[in-house]
Amino acid sequence: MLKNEIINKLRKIVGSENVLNSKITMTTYAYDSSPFLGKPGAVVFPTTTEMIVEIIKLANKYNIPVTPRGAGTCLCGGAVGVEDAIIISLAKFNRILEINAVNRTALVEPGVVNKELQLAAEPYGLMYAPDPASQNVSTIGGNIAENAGGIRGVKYGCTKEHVLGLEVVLPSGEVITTGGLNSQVDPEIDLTYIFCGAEGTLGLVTKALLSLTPINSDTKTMTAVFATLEDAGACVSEIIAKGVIPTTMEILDNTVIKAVEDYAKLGLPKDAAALILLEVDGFPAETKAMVENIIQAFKNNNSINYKIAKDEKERQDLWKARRAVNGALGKLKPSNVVHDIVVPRDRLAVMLKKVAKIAEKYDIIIGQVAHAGDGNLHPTLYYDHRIPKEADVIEEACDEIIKETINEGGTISGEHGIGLEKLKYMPLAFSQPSLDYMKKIKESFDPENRTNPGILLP
Amino acid sequence: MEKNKLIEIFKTALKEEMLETNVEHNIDLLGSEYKPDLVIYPQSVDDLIKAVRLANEHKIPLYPIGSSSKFKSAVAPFTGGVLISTKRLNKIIEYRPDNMSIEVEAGMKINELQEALAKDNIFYPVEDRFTNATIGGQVAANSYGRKKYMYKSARFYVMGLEFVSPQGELVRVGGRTVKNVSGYDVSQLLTGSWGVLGIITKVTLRVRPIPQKRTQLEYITEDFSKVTEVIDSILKEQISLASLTFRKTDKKYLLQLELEGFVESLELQVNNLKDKYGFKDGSKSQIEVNNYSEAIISLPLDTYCQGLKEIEALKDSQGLIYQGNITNGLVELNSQLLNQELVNKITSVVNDLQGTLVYQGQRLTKKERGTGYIKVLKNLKSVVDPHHILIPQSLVLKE
Repeated sequence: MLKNEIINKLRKIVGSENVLNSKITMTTYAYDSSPFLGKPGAVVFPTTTEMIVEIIKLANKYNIPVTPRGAGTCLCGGAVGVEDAIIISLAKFNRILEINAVNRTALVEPGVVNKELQLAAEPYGLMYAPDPASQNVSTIGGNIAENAGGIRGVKYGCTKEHVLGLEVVLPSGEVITTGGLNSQVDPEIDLTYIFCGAEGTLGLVTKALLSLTPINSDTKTMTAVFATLEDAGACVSEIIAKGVIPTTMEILDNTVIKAVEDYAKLGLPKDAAALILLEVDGFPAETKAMVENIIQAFKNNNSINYKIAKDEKERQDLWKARRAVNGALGKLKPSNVVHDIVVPRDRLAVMLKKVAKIAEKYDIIIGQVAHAGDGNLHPTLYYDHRIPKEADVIEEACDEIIKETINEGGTISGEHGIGLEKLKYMPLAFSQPSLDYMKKIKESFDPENRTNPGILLP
Repeated sequence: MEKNKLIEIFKTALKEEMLETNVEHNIDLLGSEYKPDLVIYPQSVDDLIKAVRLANEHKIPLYPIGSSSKFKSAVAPFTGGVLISTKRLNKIIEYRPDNMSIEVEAGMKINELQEALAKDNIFYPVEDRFTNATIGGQVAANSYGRKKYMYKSARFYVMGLEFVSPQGELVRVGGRTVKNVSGYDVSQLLTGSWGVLGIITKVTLRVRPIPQKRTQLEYITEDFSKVTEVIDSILKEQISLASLTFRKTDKKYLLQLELEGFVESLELQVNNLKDKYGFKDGSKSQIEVNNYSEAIISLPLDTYCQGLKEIEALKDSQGLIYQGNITNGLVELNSQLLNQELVNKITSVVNDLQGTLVYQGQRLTKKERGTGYIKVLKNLKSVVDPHHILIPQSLVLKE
């Protein structure tokens, strides 16, 4: 519990209506989209950089930890905070300040919802390329903190590839401006990118200058079904090696295909080993050439059935299978753990196979959906949390998946972050001197360890 | 420290063939009349670690270089010290064409890297004016080439790094996957850190397929208002624009435009540009603007033409604008025609347009990063390099 004195001071900074500390509210802010629980002391909703500076100064004076939070869609326990932390919600700090069609940029406050920015950019023929699955609710600040990816990531990259500059309130309470529009003509260290993916541990982003991307005039959507994972994996490799850069390339394994078919009845072959959903965009002349290349790759790798959407309705039909995944799988068991492993793209098929073997070995259900074009797999392990034995087995299976990922030259998280969830895997991914160097970065930004402590570094 | 003493110290751990006192480097590139007392050429990462540890033990400043082509941009002219070159660390470590990734040692030259990739129709998109530039140097400087508009800068291709910390620890960060949020993105911090936070030894790059076609077009006019008109309009076109540059010779303005992409769509674009604006087929030789030249302006795209107009309108500005890379926002001035009064006027113009002016190595326009910016950088430097071994007088740490 935070002392009344602190609560009153917070009220003075942001207004009484923007400070919450009732027991019920604290319970609702104790969790994000991960299984981890915090125990916040108060939630505040600042709407200006100055308010955030004042909150940080107050927290520093009374030695209170702070945790920034957007929409709380974090999947790794990065937004729940430690006991009695002040949760700084950026949800109301949410204006789009400028969209510039010539520079192709947007200047936004951190609480802007990803989707709102997409909608605001559209009239200019532009889009904000990163499109995480949570885009209807997740905020730009949160996207930056996690370096969120998205379905279009294969072609357009993750969040950091679209950040040009930031305004940040440092743990000291000082405000800095990083990056900018201009090409560098005098040597300078650009601090913009160390904040991307730092999970809010090095400071609070209060403004972001983002680059926008022209919307391409033509999109083609395809699906292909394969009898073996090897064929599907080889097909992905061939497409990448051909120099075709799809916008989206998703792969669903047999467990997922079956679950989706049972759930949504789309006419998918339940015995297929893999389904690939693929989308390309560009000028019409380009997409035509890309589609030809891709169909050739389907054929070369024994696709048993492929489809190309002829119109928007057919396109939506092809997307249905991918969109039904979460609903379909949710029916299998009450609880699940989603992993976010990444391997080099040439090891994708091998990794899919290895995970399937692990499912067999532990006799559990693992559904696999992967952003194939990025080598990013999301194996989801299903279990019943009410049966302690099942939870233990899941833990063991997870450890084995992580170990195999690293053996394949991959890493433990592609887009969800480390947070609390993957702390224990960090020593597997990094040597001690590498972890030490990261700790030194944290120490130099936040010597008192008050800004979102306890996450990211073991 | 005396030369002989230095050699004695480093000889305790390194073979003599790695210690060069008869300097083979192009001294001009170092930007100083000074000659280094010693250049160390480690033949392995282990050698490099040993050298850094000895430097810490004896408090000897070290100046990491690749081929030294970018050295003077970021180091105040110095008076003594030891260069440490990654030139002999130049092997390919891991090449995965099916993953579009390659890991190379930092001393590999950009042109050698391109050669290795070209046989698979792959390339590394960050071009360098210096053909002998090393990948380590490029990454340390976060270089960008003429086609930054399309390909951005080095940092966008760095997936992972190995580097030796200023205290001589071997650090590996990032990896060979295109997505990675495991821990802090230290690769991004080291990229563009100009050698002060560690010596890069290996770089894992994301590479790309070579575009099907590259096309050059040009446009010549004597009418300045026509130039700005065409620029403004081109920037709004939906085309596969890689670069747009100009040069002024005598009374004529030459605009050069590069497109890269698929054959069929480029054909359509070229025909459109020829019909609509009167562009003609261009030559292969392209205008190169040096972003570290003596008088250089960097502007946001939306104020670029405004900047050109205002400078042209200044008194005695005849011939001042020499050339520019429009898509990179750069204007190179003819520094011989500058006087203090003009410099002041241009500074004010550029400030108003949110741009940057660098004249004779000095930034004259305002920079509003906040005082915390350099403070946190200095903190970081002190924590990772307590003895201030790596480039102690680097310009990137100057207030």
